[in-house]
Amino acid sequence: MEEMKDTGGLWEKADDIALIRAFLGGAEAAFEALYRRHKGQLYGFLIHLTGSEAEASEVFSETWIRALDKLPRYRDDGKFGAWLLRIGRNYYWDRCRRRNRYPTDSLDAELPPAVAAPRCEEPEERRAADETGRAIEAALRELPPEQREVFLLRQQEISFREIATMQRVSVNTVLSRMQYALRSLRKKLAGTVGK
Amino acid sequence: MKGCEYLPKTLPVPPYLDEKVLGAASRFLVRRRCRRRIAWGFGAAAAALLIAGAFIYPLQQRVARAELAGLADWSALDQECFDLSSEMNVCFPNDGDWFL
Repeated sequence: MEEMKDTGGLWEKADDIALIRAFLGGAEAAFEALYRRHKGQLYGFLIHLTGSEAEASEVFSETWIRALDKLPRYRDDGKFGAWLLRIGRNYYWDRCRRRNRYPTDSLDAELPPAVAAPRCEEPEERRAADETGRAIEAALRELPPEQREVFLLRQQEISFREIATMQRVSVNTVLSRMQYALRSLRKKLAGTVGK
Repeated sequence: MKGCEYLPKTLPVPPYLDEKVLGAASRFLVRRRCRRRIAWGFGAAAAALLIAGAFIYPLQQRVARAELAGLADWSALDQECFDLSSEMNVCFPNDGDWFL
């Protein structure tokens, strides 16, 4: 048992590519470490992108299953997180296209779970944060999908260049989408955030 | 607080999704091992056939030629096959027929 704990600790310290190689060599614990490292980011991104916990959960599990299949061909560029987000967003848009409807259609049906700031706050302050968080979520859902995606990917610290590759547009287009997204959010949230 | 702080970058994943993904990873490894074993099995069988063919075919040719010429020296052929079979354990004489 002690040995297992030690091994787990070692996996936690290893970088992504070492974990991938170890997993492909048969070490299941390496994948667990990789999964633990990236699951929160992917899930957070998908919740905000889809606006639905049910949809995000489905896309989340399918993204990992697809990533598993593609793992032997993964080329290390030190950005496994970005690679995972790309698989997730591609799958999500494929799903939307398959259903032949605009993804925002169903967004009002289910609100994402509370996404208030995780730090400790006084109840009064926390309630205000929850309300602001919901206002931001609502404003985000009103953005055109491509602008919302740029905003969310930037939030995950994905570079504009990478976003351009994912969306198959030029960097300038991505920059202007971000600019429009920020302008719309500012307009919609005027008087809500930073009160 | 800045606006972006209201949208956390990461969110906690429900445990049932953890189970689903880790289960898929486990199955992936099993499938991968199976595929490797099957590939190794085919590879080994193909290699064995090639090696056996490389030894047996020339011997068969010699027997055929010798029989045609009516000059079969069975004692020499027996000895050759005995040497081969002790090395490879693949061919045994049986009244002039050769089989695996």
